[in-house]
Amino acid sequence: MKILIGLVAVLLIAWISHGPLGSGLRLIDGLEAQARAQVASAEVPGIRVALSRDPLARVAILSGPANDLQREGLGSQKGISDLVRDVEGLGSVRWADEPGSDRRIVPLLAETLLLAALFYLLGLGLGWFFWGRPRREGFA
Amino acid sequence: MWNVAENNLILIVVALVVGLAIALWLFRGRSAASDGPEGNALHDEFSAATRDVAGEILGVDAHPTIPGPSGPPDDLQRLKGVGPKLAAQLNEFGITRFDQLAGLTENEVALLDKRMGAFEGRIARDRLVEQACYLERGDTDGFEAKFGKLGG
Repeated sequence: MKILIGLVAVLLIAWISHGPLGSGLRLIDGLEAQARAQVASAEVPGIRVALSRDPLARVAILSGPANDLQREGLGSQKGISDLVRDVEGLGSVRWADEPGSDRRIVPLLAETLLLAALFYLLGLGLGWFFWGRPRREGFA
Repeated sequence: MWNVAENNLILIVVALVVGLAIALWLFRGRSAASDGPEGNALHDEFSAATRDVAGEILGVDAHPTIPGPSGPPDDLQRLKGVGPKLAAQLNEFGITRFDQLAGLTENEVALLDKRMGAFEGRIARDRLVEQACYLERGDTDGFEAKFGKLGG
């Protein structure tokens, strides 16, 4: 029961941090700005990139007129998708007009909650290590 | 995922601290419920844990043995559930007084219990540490209120 109370508290804090305090939106805005810069560096007119907003997710969705070569590149020549994939922290890259672009995405909120739960469990584990486990104490 | 972690460093620290706090509540609460003796404070437990880890790393037994009796032996058979054989067994481990029994930590009880042979589990089952806490401080009323009339 105590463990559950702690878990609920941590998940609540994670949700507040992600939503009302805006850390989720800040992350997505930052990633989107980097993705836009990468798209701009490809110098292909009419290409837009946006990160998923509903729900917030680290998924970049590209749109606009580009042929396969421009999209995926060839050999060492990077395509737009590769350039956007180079943005550190992005989960995946999709083209809006390609089949499967509407497949399920992992919401950033879920990732944040999972992260919070993992570190909560890590804290519990450390606590058990310090105070909970049977320790070797000598008996002559 | 690392990027998400980087963006949520404060949240990570908070989650870790809450986890530690809950563990403290959970495990400290368990030992406090046994109405144990002094020496179970947080800094004592940190100290014991540190010694424990250091001992394991260095490969030495960093923990002290049970302190010797500080006076003449008590009649351990006054404890409910302790007969001549169990009393003799406790004596064999150097426990002859209530204060020694009352001073055992939860871990010491667990370790001692493993060596109790036929009496394994009795220390916990008969709440001997808790009983000894009352008798050690001469609180016979409290003892009797909790465990029943004292014998001889």
